[in-house]
Amino acid sequence: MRLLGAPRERIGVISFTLEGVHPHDVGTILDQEGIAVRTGHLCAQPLLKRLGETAVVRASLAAYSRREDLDALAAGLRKVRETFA
Amino acid sequence: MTDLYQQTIVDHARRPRNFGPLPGANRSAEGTNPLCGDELILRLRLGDRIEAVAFEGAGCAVCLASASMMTLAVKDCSASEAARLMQRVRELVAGGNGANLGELESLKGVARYPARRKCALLAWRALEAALAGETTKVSTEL
Repeated sequence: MRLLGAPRERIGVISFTLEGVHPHDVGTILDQEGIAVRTGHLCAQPLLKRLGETAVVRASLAAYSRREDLDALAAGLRKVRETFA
Repeated sequence: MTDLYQQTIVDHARRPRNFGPLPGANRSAEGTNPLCGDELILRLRLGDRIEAVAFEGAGCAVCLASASMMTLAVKDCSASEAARLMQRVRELVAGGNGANLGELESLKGVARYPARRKCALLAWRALEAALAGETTKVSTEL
């Protein structure tokens, strides 16, 4: 997994890619697991180009996100891996 | 687990067939899906029939698998046979019947994901353009 950006302080908005799986496929599988993320170029093509990506996955966490939500995201990402293993 | 990511789709996406340049190509078309960022270039060697076909590009599993399966399906087809096949695939991803389409039937699951239909059809749009001799880049948004 590649996390994009390395700020010293980070808010709960995290963009990432999984090697060998297109972000839209990640997004569709997470969606089937009931997890909503944004995928694609996020209307930020110049920045993504600079970062060497054409599309990413973005999870947006906030004050109301719970530990269970993160566990569900992790489980969903494992499912992505299994699907494309 | 899902009817979208069938083994056939995953296999073609991971190991696309006829992926690369095509020596002696006499037709080509570029396709783009600007909302996804998918891009591909399709090349044909066209005589009375499609003698050879290859593609290069980057996209999601649905896009790559559809392109890969297309190259196998349209080889040795005449232009009109290829056009009929394309029409069948269009109907398939819109929820129609995929009988006798072979591996392409694995695209049936796309019908449940309207946003992904364009991914499945990008290579076919490029094929249509290449056969017609269009020179402008084809886009799923036009």
